[in-house]
Amino acid sequence: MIFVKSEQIINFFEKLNQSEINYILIRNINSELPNSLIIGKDIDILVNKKDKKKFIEFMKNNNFVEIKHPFSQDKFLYNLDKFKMFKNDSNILIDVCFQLANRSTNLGEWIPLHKNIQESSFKNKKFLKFGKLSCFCLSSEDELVILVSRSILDKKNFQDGYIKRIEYLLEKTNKIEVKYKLSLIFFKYALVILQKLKNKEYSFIINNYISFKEY
Amino acid sequence: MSNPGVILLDELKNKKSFQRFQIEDNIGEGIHIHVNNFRFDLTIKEFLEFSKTIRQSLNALDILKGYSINNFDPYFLKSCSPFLKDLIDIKIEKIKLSKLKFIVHSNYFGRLNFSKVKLVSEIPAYYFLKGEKKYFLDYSQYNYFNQGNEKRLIRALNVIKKNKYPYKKQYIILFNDQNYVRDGQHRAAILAHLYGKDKEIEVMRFYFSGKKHVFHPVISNVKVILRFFFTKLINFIKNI
Repeated sequence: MIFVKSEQIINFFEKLNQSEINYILIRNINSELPNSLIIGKDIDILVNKKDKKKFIEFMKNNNFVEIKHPFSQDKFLYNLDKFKMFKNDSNILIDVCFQLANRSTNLGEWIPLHKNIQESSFKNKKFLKFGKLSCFCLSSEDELVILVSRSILDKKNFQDGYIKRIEYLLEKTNKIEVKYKLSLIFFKYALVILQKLKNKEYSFIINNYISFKEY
Repeated sequence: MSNPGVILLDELKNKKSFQRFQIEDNIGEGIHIHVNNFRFDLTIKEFLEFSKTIRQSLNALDILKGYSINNFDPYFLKSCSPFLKDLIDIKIEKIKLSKLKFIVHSNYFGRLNFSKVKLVSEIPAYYFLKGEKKYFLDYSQYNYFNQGNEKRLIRALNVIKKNKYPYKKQYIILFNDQNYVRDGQHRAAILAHLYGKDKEIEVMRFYFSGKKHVFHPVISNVKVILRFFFTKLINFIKNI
């Protein structure tokens, strides 16, 4: 396997930190960053919509070119900004969104998450270190909610890396806050999700959600 | 913000009747019935009660000439609803499977959806049952939510194997003197697979007055082509 050079990733985030752009690294599954990101895999970043122009300019100034995003033909509802994808000569792929969003179960349209989650993501972001890499990340509660909603709605599967991270976060998060935020996405099913996660019943969640009737 | 867990249960696209008529299941939240600018929020229990009341009302109107609407696939009833006011009678008749004709769709360029007339041994579901699966698995057809082509056909096969045909009076349906199968293509494929193409079966024949219900493959395909070029023309004019 060929990995993206870690010093290039560290360098990119150092510059991003200095730029004063309000951003968040959405996830770092299996701690791929900065040392074991396979070439071709992207880095998922959330940028505050207010800094969209500034971010695009930043990417241009740092020798990134915008390439066609794999979801560019998808439908984006409720004024959700389309995702953007950037690439540089060092094979760093940056997948950027300007609001947190999930796919609808209807026709897979992208729908922004509740504004309280959007606001919380920036308000409660934290500065973390992964070896020599320093960057802004979601709070544990927000990260847990995003990993769960992504597994159910976007991937329709709980992947091993996600499960490992979810189990780690479950131990250290405020359950009341997580339940509240899950309820902004899954409504009355939020409570069931927490029970299923606690019981590690990952394989049941997707079908159980689709056929949920208690409302 | 909107619930991402939405399932569109059904909608009407006839703009003459409604600007918008959609029934959505918003998972964990409620059932929404959108009628133009109004939205009715119901719990699942309320929606099922409402649905039951509508069924009772439709049965009381006897629009299906003595048959209960529960004997029919709701999707079929919806598709033939424009003709139901012209329905005169429903009869059970016998016919050989080999005499039936089937409307099979072929899609070109995403929008050109042509109808071809086939025999039972030539339809995608029959091929699947005989082991040639790809044609059917790739075949575009209406399925209920979370139900793919294979799952739907295998379920129907198991029902017929266990309960025989016509289970719950759910017959294959033809209109007037035409032998085109309007509902029951899967059932016909299963019967041909289980008992052979020369098996004589009971079918339900709807008798309508007027000509609205008549299917002409050529006219149907000409309409598809005209609609395709008309849309192209409109888009071209819009872009000038």
